[in-house]
Amino acid sequence: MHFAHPDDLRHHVGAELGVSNWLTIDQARVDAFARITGTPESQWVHGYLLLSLFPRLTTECLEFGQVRRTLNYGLNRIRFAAPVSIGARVRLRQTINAADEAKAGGIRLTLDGVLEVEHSEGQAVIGQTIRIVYP
Amino acid sequence: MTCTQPRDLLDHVGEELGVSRWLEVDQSTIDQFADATDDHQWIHVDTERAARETADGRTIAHGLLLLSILTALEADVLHIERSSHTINCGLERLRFTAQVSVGARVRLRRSVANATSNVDGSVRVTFDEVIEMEGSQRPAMVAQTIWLIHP
Repeated sequence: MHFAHPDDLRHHVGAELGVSNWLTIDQARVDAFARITGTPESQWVHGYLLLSLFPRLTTECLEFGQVRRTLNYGLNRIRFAAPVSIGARVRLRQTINAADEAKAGGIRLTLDGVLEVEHSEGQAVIGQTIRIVYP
Repeated sequence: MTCTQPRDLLDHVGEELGVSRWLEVDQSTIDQFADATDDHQWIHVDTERAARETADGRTIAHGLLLLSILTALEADVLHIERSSHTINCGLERLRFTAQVSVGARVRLRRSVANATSNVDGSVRVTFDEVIEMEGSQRPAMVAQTIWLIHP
């Protein structure tokens, strides 16, 4: 969805933002994440890497005409519901749960997200992300 | 703290386990995290623009980088001798409570909020995680994480 101004989000609470493109979680990305975070090698993609891809996947579904910066405010009730193997493709489906006024003219945006895995009935990550968008 | 087996954590509900070493958040780590997650927003990686436009003139670490380095710091705080594997079940309320500028040093303070045992000897544990920042009264991140720890 495209919004001229973050304020416009307030008229779309309850709407589905849409679904991102599929993203392959390849070995290079997993290795880069492991180097930074000191996580041991595994056949599965680290849950925190999956969560850390939410901002990038969100930019595919949410565009603003005018935004100076976006701040990550927090998370509510995240569940890593199914493991994701290295090489799998994932995509993020999100709905606008809330859009409230924040300090300094920002809009606090709460999104309900589900990270889907290709060829799988299962959902890899379920939960709410909260960010503040400053025009 | 060192435990022999996961079930020992049941005796430590409500207790603080300890504090990790300090870890400096440098620009190289922020840049690598930006590459690994494709999040190259200017407040994280553009040092010149940050010098002009952020409050202290420095870039800011991604909030999710703070979450991700929990895995590096938690081993400083808790070691379970007889544990084959641990499953990351998720998080309860997490808040990024202060911005972490490049060059800051952070550490983890971890407590056991809740622990319940299963018949197979595994234990489901909720930890209170606080990322503290050197020289700051206010923590950078507070969260509850949920783990299933197998013997």
